[in-house]
Amino acid sequence: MNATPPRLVPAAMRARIGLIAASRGNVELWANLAVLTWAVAFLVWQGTGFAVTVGTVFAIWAILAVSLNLVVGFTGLLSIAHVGFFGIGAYSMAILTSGTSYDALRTDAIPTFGWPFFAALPVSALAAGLVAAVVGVVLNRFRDDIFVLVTFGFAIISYSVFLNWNELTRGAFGIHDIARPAAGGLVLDSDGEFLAFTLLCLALTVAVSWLLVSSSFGRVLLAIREDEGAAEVFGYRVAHYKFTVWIISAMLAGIAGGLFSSWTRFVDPYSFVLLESIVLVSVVILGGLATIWGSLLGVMAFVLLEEGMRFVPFLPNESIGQARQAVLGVLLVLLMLFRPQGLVGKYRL
Amino acid sequence: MPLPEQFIGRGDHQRRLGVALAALVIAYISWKVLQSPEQALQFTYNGLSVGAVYALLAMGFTVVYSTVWFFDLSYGAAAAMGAYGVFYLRSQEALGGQYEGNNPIVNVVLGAVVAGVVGWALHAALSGRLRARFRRGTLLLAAGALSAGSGLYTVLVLAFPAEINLLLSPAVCAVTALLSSWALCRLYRVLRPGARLAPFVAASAPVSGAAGLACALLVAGADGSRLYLSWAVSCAVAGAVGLALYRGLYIYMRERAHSPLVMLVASLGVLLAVTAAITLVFESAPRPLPEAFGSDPRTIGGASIKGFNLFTIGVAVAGLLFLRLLLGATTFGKQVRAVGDDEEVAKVVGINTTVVIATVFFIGAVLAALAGLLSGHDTAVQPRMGLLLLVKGWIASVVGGIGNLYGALLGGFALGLVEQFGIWDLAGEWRDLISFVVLILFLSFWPTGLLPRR
Amino acid sequence: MRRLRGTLLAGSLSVLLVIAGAVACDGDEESDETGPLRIGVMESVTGPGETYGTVAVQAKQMAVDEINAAGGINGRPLELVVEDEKCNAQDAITAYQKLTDVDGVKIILGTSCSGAMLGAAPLAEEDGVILFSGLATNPDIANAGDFIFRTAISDTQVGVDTGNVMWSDGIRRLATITELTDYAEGVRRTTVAQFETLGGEVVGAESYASDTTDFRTQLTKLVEADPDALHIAAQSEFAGGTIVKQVREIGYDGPLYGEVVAAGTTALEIAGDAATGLKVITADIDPANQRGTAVLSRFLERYGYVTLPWYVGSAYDDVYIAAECLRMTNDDQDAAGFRDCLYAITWSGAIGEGYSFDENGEVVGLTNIVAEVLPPAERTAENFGYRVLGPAPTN
Repeated sequence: MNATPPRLVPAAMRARIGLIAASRGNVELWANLAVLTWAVAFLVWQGTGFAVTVGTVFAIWAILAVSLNLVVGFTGLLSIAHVGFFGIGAYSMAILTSGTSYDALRTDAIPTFGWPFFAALPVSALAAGLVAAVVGVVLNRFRDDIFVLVTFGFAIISYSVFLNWNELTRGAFGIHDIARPAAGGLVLDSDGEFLAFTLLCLALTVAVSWLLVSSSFGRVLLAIREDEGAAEVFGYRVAHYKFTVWIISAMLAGIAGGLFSSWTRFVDPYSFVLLESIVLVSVVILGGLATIWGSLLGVMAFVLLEEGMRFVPFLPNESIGQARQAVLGVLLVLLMLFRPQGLVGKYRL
Repeated sequence: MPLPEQFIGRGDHQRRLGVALAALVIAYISWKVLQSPEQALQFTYNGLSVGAVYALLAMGFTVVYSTVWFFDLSYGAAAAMGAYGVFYLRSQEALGGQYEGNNPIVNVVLGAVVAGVVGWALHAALSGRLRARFRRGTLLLAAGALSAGSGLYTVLVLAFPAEINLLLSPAVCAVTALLSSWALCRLYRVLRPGARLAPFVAASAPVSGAAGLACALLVAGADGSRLYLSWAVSCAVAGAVGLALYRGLYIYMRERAHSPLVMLVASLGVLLAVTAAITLVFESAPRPLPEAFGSDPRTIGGASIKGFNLFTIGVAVAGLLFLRLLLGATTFGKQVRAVGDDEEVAKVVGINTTVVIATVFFIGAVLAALAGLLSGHDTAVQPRMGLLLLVKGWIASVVGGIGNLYGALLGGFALGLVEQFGIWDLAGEWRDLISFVVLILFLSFWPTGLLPRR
Repeated sequence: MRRLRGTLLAGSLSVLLVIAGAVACDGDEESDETGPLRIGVMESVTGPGETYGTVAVQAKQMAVDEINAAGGINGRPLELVVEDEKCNAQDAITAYQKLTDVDGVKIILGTSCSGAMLGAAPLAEEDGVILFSGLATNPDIANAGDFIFRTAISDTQVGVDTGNVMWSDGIRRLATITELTDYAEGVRRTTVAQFETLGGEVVGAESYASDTTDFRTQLTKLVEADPDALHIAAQSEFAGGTIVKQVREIGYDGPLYGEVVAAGTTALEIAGDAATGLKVITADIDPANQRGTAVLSRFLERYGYVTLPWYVGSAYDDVYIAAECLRMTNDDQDAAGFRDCLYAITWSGAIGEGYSFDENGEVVGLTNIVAEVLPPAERTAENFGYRVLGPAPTN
């Protein structure tokens, strides 16, 4: 809106130019409008039955994205390892709550614990946090692109462990019969109830993240992102801060994992491949770095993109996942070219 | 951005720990070799076969990385494109043509890319020299016609792969004629320094023309040449895409980007999109490529190895020699190193950095495509092979020492061997994990790799 | 600006909620009595089971077209709604939900893969939706529920038969390589159990994930253990064929055993001469079964190729059985009536004479055969590249 229109242009025209300029400056507004309208239209179109499924996918991914944004956006560490913590949470939930005894004639038996959901969920978070602590010790040594490379490595290693540690994860066969949330007489068994519970967890995640980033702790994180050396000079123990936010983020991802496996009631390693992690990072960048609302918006756009594409006429059903991935890739390139801060973000990568 | 600065706190005790670990690994491997020499030999052959592919990737990666200093993830897409290019052109010969699929969109897109690259190359190479002699419009028209022609030619070749040897024979003729004419001129220069070249060129034209024609006829007549022509086409196309990505995309981002991460994320987007596009066109399941030569096993010293694997190892070594010659003994090589040392300074001293970097991207993509198609012939092609090969190429170059070509070759073979010997006692499925453990160990203890950059 | 955004958000969210509520109150659509009878189909159109899924969908479509050409069911046309289960539980659940929630079908033919079947079966059982598979062979499916049926022979039987065949061929030391899927691992375990019961010894066992392309390291380790024979349990024909090819490349020349996947058309193309002599234990269409051979020749005529003959027959028969039951109930929403019809029915079709379903929904009255892969020169489209040696021996 820097350029004032020349005086010769008529008033009506001037108003239009102003509008265009305003809209150009307001990608943020348009992004919000587009995604939310899309969400509403989608609900009207599809009805609740399917929307409940989509909503749950959204909520779980949103927890993941918001927690990842703590690390990627607020602290400036581009981590591809998040899917590993997601998987650890999912497997903790699966192993602890699955009550099925497997026929030893055909597949490896794994220990069964038969815990209730609410006992296992904290363990999901703790397990993810614990592994994050160990990984964090290694990762704290690296920065920038080497950091990315090593997180790549962690994502592949965790997938490899899920796939091959047959005595614990049943490898490629996956674990069936994972518990739904139940405490006392309250059983959240139906999909709608589960959605409500997941949204509650999402709300808690958002609250925790918001408190974290708006506290003095969060400001130090921003300082680290902007200039790690300067933050160190001012006497902050940078490694300590990075380590803490890394673990919190991993624990939130662990919770998302617990919810995920409880929702599908079945986990196998293929849900935790490297590509999922790459897609997740892309979604976070798409939504906007260092903004909680941006992550929610990014995930909403992403989820709706897939479910919406299911109904695109010329696209065969089996190609949807791929088509969405292609769209995401192109979006990412365009974002990096024209809008490195993402749809609603403030901070440029 | 020299690497060691990125690591903190490497004390003496850490170096000792590293040495101890290395000693442990070597002890384990020698124990295994003593335990069953025959199996060890077989593992060595297997390791060298995959290692050769890793080495090729690592060499290309290292050249690109040490020129532009960002992780180019789309490099993996080039590997997948090389392999799938061969599949695209030759799938009618595998599995009774069951998976043959020719997609006009793919043909046109790739044709457009080639046209753009040819247009750019003409502009970069000739416009400066010819501008004085011809009018601008004439030049534009000629360049446009040439690039459009080459784009159409590409589309034609891609659309009718069954007759690829006939379609490509004119190109083979032209290339052979030009090459032989160039070689003859060089020879003449050496024999009669200072003599005028023009009469000699005119005199030798029939000779080189005849050589080109002979080659073209040979290719057109031999059906067996189709597979190898498809190698050339897919390498060239992958190279063109790599060049186009730099010239059409990365160059603008590099001007604006604050951090190498922007480039990394953008190239990640390219990798995602290309992988998805490959899956859309070819489906996600692994597919075999048609049989190349040397598929019969031969026994050497009690273990078997395919002739094709020996060829792959040879290609890796040849790749090293080629890059050494190119980067070490030519003006272009000096320019590449100057750009890698400091791009701004290189620009100031009059190096056309855009052309140099774009050419490096072309060479890198061609090497990746070559590695991809060799790996595809050895085992199979699948869409996610791009990401896998990229990651292995990375690790190999880190192990060998980023920026060092000998290191890349050594790192590739070392990674291949360690992967193989590592799963001697473990289940074979842990292979990927082993290579990443190797990576993390190297980054922690020897961030400069086996052979540090000089 | 900030306030505008806030208002916008609040507005959109409230509209969202209102509409969600409104949609929730909507009733189900009534099915009319004269429209088409719609049944769902869930197969692996992509993924590791794509060959089976594609063949199954094509065979089913052929059967439906035949039925409709002959006047449909009680004058109503039969209609298939096809979804891809991608050979895994998660996508099977998504596909199942799409079929039941969006398309509203109550009878689903499928799946191709056992893993997908086991993923969707608990939901189907809970919702009272029929899952009727022609291809899923995992033994667990027997106990999956009252609404779960199949015409595929359980892997338990394939494994027992394979163990017997190897033992009677004089194999005493066995090495196995197995794809990490429910199907392949199920086959391996039952095979090994039977083989060890008879007194054999397993000297090496390796497994691989579905997208592996290089098996040489694992095979090297197996061959070094010096087995009498190698048993291959693969899920995808690509892997089956590649293993056969690569094991010959590293110099192994002993006998090879497998099940149907290793001798699929694609697998044989990949393996080439390396597959000659490979023995497979599988369900197959008896060349003497006129109905079966007729279906295969119609399939060949329609699609220009035939592979996995037994699965073509099985998928084809499923549609006719479903049509028969729909003829009795005349209602594609009546899953219970359909179920009762399946328990009662005795069918003679492409895959055998007079077979029926037991109380677990398992097929009774079909048997496995042993076949040997022919040299490349003798492989034709008619013999699928192998010759049938006879029914599997029983010990």
